[in-house]
Amino acid sequence: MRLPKFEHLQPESLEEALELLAEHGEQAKVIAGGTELLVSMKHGLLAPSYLVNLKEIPELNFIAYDGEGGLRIGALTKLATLIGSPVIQESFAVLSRAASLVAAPPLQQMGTLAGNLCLDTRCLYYNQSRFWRQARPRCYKTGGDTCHVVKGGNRCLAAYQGDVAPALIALGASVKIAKKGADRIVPLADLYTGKGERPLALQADEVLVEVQVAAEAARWGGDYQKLRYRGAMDFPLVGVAAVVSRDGLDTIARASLVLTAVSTAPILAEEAGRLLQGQELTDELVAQAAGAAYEVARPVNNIGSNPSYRRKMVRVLTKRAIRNAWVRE
Amino acid sequence: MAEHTLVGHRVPRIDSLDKATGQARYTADLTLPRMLYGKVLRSPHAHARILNIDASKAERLRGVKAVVTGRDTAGVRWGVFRYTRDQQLLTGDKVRYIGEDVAAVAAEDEETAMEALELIEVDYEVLPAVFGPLEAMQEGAPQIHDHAENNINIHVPIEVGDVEKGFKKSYHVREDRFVDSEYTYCQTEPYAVLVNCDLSGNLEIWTPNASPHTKAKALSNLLEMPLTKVKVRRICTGGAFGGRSDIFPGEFIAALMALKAARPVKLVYTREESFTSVRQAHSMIVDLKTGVRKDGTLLANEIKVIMDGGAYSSTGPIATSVPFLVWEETYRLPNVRFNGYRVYTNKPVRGMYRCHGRAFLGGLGMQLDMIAEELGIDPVEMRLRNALRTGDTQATGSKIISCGLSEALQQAAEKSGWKEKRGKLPFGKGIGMGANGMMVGFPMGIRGGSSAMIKFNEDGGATLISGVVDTGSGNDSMVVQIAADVLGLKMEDVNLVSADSEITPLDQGAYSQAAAFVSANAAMAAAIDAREQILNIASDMLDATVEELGLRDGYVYMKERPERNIWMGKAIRKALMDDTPIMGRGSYMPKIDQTREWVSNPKGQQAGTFSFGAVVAEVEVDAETGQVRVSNVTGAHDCGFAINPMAVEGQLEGSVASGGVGATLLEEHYWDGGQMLNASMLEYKVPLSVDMPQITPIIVESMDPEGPFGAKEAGLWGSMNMFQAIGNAIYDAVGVWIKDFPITPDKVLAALEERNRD
Ligand SMILES: Cc1cc2nc3c(=O)[nH]c(=O)nc-3n(C[C@H](O)[C@H](O)[C@H](O)COP(=O)(O)OP(=O)(O)OC[C@H]3O[C@@H](n4cnc5c(N)ncnc54)[C@H](O)[C@@H]3O)c2cc1C
Ligand code: SF4
Repeated sequence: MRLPKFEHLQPESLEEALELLAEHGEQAKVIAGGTELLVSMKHGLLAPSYLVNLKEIPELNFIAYDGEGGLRIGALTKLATLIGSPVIQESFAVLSRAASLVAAPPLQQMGTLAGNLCLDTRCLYYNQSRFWRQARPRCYKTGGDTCHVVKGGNRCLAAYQGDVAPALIALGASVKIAKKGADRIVPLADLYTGKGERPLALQADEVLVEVQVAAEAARWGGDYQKLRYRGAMDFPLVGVAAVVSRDGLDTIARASLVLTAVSTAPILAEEAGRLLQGQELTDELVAQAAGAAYEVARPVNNIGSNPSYRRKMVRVLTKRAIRNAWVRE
Repeated sequence: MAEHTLVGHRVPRIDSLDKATGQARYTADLTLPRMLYGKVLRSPHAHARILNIDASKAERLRGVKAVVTGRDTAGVRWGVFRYTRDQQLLTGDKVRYIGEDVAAVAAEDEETAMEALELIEVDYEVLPAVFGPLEAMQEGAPQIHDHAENNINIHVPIEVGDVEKGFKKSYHVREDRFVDSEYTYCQTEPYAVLVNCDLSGNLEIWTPNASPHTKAKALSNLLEMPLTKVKVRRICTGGAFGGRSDIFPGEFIAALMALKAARPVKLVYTREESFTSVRQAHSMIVDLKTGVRKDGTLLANEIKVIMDGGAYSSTGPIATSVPFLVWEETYRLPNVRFNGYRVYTNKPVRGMYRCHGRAFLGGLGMQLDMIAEELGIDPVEMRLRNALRTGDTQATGSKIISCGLSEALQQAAEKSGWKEKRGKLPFGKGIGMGANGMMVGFPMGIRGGSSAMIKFNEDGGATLISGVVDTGSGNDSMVVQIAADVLGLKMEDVNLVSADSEITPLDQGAYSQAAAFVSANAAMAAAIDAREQILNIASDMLDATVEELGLRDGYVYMKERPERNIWMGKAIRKALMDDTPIMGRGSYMPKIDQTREWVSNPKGQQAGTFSFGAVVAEVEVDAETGQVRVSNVTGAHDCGFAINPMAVEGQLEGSVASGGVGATLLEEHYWDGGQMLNASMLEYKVPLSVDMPQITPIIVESMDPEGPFGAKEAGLWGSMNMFQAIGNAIYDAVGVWIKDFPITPDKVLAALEERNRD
């Protein structure tokens, strides 16, 4: 497969990058590691006239932690760097674990944190070559008015399958987003629209510049559980991130559970977290929380395996994630 | 074997360095001056009539040098057998699957070719389509080919003994249905072809292949060109697994365009095209009825297999017979009835596959275990009781001239700790066994044998010219190793010219596991012939008898007085001066009943010999997720004799990956009608290195009386019996039989839930 023609722009500062994006608007696309974007371009899903490459912008590539300001990670940080970071391994284990389960080591060497967070939603009817897609009418995600997965459905239910977002959302992370002349900081959870067609609340001229996690999160225990058929490479069929904090010896102060790959966005299983809060951890309680997570999962038949099996696995993985997170706390 | 310096030793393959360093060149790496780039326009419909094709706009596009459509080839049909010629390699009237070749373009560059494809207008009348073999066989189903009623493409009936009586006499009878989805080969190298033509009417073709001679013959027929002018050249092939055996539209189309443009044309498929538009392996539904005596002895078998053949015949008659053959090649079957049906559907074309048919051999091997359990017999015992032995005759009449099956079963059981583990591991862990027999060299008429020549250079080095085909498994290295050993040379002193339909003699190709048994036999004979000639000349020069002489390290020496020797180069030069140049010549034709035919006469000696194997797999099952991990595999294989033990072991490792972990647990196609949803290396789950178990290979040597140095084959060990072993191990681990392959986690979980409900 061949890449469509485009112009490659290589800004050397964030300011310059934002300038270029402001200038080219919808015709431009940001490229970081390119591990997702270039595949989509080869499939003819995107054909930007300009690629604005962030790789020569040193200010986007850093990991900083201090006891007060918390953790800040530059958008362009490679997943491999993030996984290898001692402070993240020690104090934000859920994050390094989730990142270490992304794809496989070669892709972690190329893939960046922001690229991962900004993944498009996926569907077996969408992530296909142009020829493949020509065999059937356009669906909602490609500008048509039908869905091949949910017959009679009225919107796109392509799955968000990123591994890292659930871990960061469970840690309560925020992201800093910049465009020419303006910055904003929003909870990471708000980056996701829940719309399969356009999953990100990000304008064409905006760049995600850093991820922030509050210092208190360093004391919480966390775990990420991922279901995939092979020991590497595969996107999650289900992913569950759990983060818990203790009150005294046996009581759960706060719990946060976030699911991935079972909806159009990472979903916070609020009820599951609420059930755990202020309680002592028992098998029964874990099962209840897992049941609540199961309730909010909405897998459909569009990313492989079968959806009812995947939904059941939300229960199993949630239990395991809570147990492991608790032990690590 | 003490006298052998190379044969039987662990030697690095001659191609390892090139391949490991990326120096080896495959078809897609080649370029020729003035070469054009081809692209194929494919059908987006599973079943449709072509009303009109208008390629005029594409023809006018700047940079386009040739456009071909079905109109250029009307009436040209391909089929492996005379009675299976049902595929127009560029279809003119109808398309029968999504991805079928409709038209093609050759242009100055790939972008232009792609642009031109978009300019070709095809009017289709969409027809009702059918996607499953059972539906396709029903009355009123859309008929895919005019000649095939109920869409039945091939029916192979075989009956031996008195099946009814066998069942009547049986102490215990069991019936099961096993089903299996299709697989794709996923060779590392996607399909590619390069064709060159000249003004004297010569055609040269480079394409990954299992037999240059078969390809050349087919193309000469299809293009109506003399065989002598069609030259399929040697090229590195990046994996085959049965998927390079047939003739494909790509080489025909590239040749048509090269002839039309009078320029070289290269066509390289995408991974998606390699999935859908070359070959896939059959899915199947297998009904098995087995009757046994109280002691487990097989008395009767009734087997019905329905295979989804896709849109065209391909190797259909062979594929439809194999389910039966691999069963009779393993066990003594006194009374057996087989009905194999291959059915047309509007899916991609199905061909041969190295682990062809999880559902039949996997099913049969699992059913044996079920019966064993019901009768209270150990599965190893059960197999030993029924295993073929040297001197036996198979159900349809093939003699077994060497057989190490019992030894393989015993050794695999012993080395894996079977006795200590079977039925004794904690819940979630299990161990299971599988066994198989395999034909080596099958009837292929004049192309069923191999011949070889050896010539010498004045520096004492030699060049072996053999038709042997190496699709990646090491056959080239094997013939060089043998020739060097026989001639007392180092492997690096023997050049190999191989697999070129013009230069090298006929050879059966990398089919039917025959390279060691047939091609290497011919190479060995040529080397022995040359050796005799050298010794004859040297006996004059050394004033000794031929019997007194040996060959080693490039010298002819007297065995009793090694200090009396001459350099081999001297003997070679003397032979040249005497006008009796040394030219070794050898051939081998397996002793097969050439009147045997897949459908019309499935009787008589089927193959030159048979190999046998047993594996033991250990699994860990996560009962909450249904995920299965294969932790250990112990495989014992009767390869006759291991010419290069390292290569034999490497073949087991490959088998465990593709036939075992992949085919049994992971690999499946997702479909929506006739459209494959996971035609990519990301979504089609070929196992990764992290998914591989610990492997303990055991080589069993039955020293075949016909094979070179006693060798048979090693290419299929493991890939045919891993399904049974894993399926049986899962039962041992968690107590459920999964009869639906691949055994994905959702199926394991569903079976566990059902059992808990009962
Ligand atoms: C075979 C394979 C397997 C994979 N498996 C997994 C997996 O298991 N789990 C998983 O999570 N991912 C997986 N991926 C997806 C991908 O490789 C990773 O998510 C990776 O981290 C993406 O990062 P990147 O830098 O390469 O992104 P890119 O491809 O460069 O970009 C991805 C998207 O993010 C946008 N983007 C990038 N940086 C910014 C920024 N700073 N601001 C705004 N937008 C930005 C791009 O415009 C693009 O739309 C897989 C990919 C492949 C090819
Ligand atoms: S979920 Fe439906 S609308 Fe969305 S990409 Fe898949 S087929 Fe298209």
